[in-house]
Amino acid sequence: MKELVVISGKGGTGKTSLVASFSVLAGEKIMADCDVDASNLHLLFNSSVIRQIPFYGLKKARISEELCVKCGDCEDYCHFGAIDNSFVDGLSCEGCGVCKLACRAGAIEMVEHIAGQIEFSDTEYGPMVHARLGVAEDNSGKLVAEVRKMARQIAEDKNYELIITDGPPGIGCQVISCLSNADLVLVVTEPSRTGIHDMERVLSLVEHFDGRAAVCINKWDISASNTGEIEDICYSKNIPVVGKIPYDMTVYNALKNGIPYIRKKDSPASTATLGIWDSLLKML
Amino acid sequence: MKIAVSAQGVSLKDPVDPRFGRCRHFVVYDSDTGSLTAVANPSGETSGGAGIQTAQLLVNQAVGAVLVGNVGPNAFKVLNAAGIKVYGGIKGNVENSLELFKEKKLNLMSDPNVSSHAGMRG
Amino acid sequence: MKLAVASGKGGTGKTTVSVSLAITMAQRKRVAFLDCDVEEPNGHLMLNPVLQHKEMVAVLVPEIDEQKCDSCGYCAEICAFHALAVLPGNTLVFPEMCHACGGCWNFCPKQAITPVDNYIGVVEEGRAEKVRFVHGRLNVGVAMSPPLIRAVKAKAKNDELTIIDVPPGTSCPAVKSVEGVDFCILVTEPTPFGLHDLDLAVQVLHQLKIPCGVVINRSDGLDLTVEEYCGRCKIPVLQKIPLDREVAEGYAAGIPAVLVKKEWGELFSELMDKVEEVVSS
Repeated sequence: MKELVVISGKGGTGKTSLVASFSVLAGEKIMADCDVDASNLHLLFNSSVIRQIPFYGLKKARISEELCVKCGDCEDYCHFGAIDNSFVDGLSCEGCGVCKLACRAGAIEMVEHIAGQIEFSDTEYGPMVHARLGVAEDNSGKLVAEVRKMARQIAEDKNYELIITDGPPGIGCQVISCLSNADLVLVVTEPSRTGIHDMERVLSLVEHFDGRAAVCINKWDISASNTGEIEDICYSKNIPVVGKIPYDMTVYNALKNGIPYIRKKDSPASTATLGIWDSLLKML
Repeated sequence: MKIAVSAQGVSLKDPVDPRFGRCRHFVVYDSDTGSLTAVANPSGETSGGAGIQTAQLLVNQAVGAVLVGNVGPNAFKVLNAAGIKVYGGIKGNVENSLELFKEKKLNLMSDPNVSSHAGMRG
Repeated sequence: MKLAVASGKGGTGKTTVSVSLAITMAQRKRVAFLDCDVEEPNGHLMLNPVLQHKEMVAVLVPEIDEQKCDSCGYCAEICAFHALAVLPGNTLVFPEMCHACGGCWNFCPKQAITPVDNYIGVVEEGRAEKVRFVHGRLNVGVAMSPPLIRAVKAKAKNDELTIIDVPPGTSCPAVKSVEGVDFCILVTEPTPFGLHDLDLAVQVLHQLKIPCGVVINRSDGLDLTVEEYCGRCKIPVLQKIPLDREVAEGYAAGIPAVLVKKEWGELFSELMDKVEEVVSS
């Protein structure tokens, strides 16, 4: 079984549109959407959620009204300003449990807290695992790991040879969580200053994890000089540039209509994407 | 000396778990008495710092050596400071890993072999 | 007035809007631009400020007095973030795991723990022509951004229009950045992704009770689904910014939209007028 992880660093580089197009091209596979803050891949498919399981975050404090003597100790000890007049603000509580230690009335307990949902869906292109994290929740690194684990399990059960993972944006812990044991990491970048900057950061992360990376440049003709710079960076790091996708209104229009752009055959972007997919299959 | 093996189950025949912080169990072999015990690792369910917490568990169990697939830097730092010998890159099942250990065929690690997931916050 | 510019999703053009708005408004009044995306600050790439002042930001982490510590293990036991490990005669601290909750230094039975400073990043201040510029940069490997975001926000002054560039998403750093503002501009694009993530951001703002309005970026004029959504949720559509290849090319080269297209200045002053109208009503 092989896992292709697609990441980008900066948001809005077209990563998810590309993953959706790969999903159309690939045969038997499972898709894992690890962008747990804002999972989007399902919006380009006809998908229906068939199962949900809760994801638990750090426990949060709860103050019992009956037992509370309103001494205010918990409020004094809380470093996150999460307690006001014996009421815990769930958004600010980080779950440290210090208030419970401080409470002499034994009125505080730390209670389980559902931070999100892991969802299993059926789509016209195969099964998909995704997740939804609650507002202002952390722990998304762990949730990413869970989504990947579930996807792997389904792939094993169904005897599928491929997992396509839509990675989270950024360069933080969620991304790190997506890199371990990936067979190939495709970095989607765009030729802007921030695009280049973030690509370099994620490439060094991949390197750090002894992962195999490939790069593709989206909207490359927006800046031919920056594209040249990206190619130079990749060449010096010995990382293959597997393709360049031109600025193409087909991509924008397909996205607006909620379909993977590869279904608009013979557009410049689709042709480039076919080439990228071939190269990736060879590398895998 | 107690030797702990990160395992996916509780018996000698169970496969080694390549993960340290999030492994399900440790099978602990006491070379002085020949006894075998299994210790569950509750850290698999924690959000962050599983490696540190798991290393603490082994320190509390007074383990002298650990046989494992991968260890990150935080866990390695704790194990190292506690004088617990770390043998990494272990594959196969618990029983044959212990055999290889007795035959002194395992490599002692001097550095962590995976990077830190430190913090694990959005 | 404190004005946040946010988006549920990265790459919708949030920085394009915040930067262009700051440049436009600075022609009329005193403007400060605060980049709260401390993990990935990029406002400076568009505004090119001259940075004159730098300040280190620290959070508290435990320090163990080995003379007093009897290795009882209580601190490691109560630490919800596993930032401590207690070995016989030696207690290890992992500052990057610590949330500075104070549990260990308040409750150590031997009072062997004191809080000390641990530097997590810098706040840099300067000027980009007429715009006063502030941003924070988190050190690599540090997981705790809220204290640094707080430090950036503390640089706001009451007699200025403060424009806060909020990190993308709906997690903790985004929430900490918008807390306490008078109004929040949500930047979206007229695609299913844009709409989906806009809805997430709207939920956050409702929970925080912050009034908001929407800017539709990369609009081709046919933005019915976003407009319907805004109508349903009673959120004003403040402005539409056209899809434009020249602006995309300018962005790639680090040139703000309003400097690529001078005539867009009007779009952004109109946007500000609408914001003021909504805030005062």
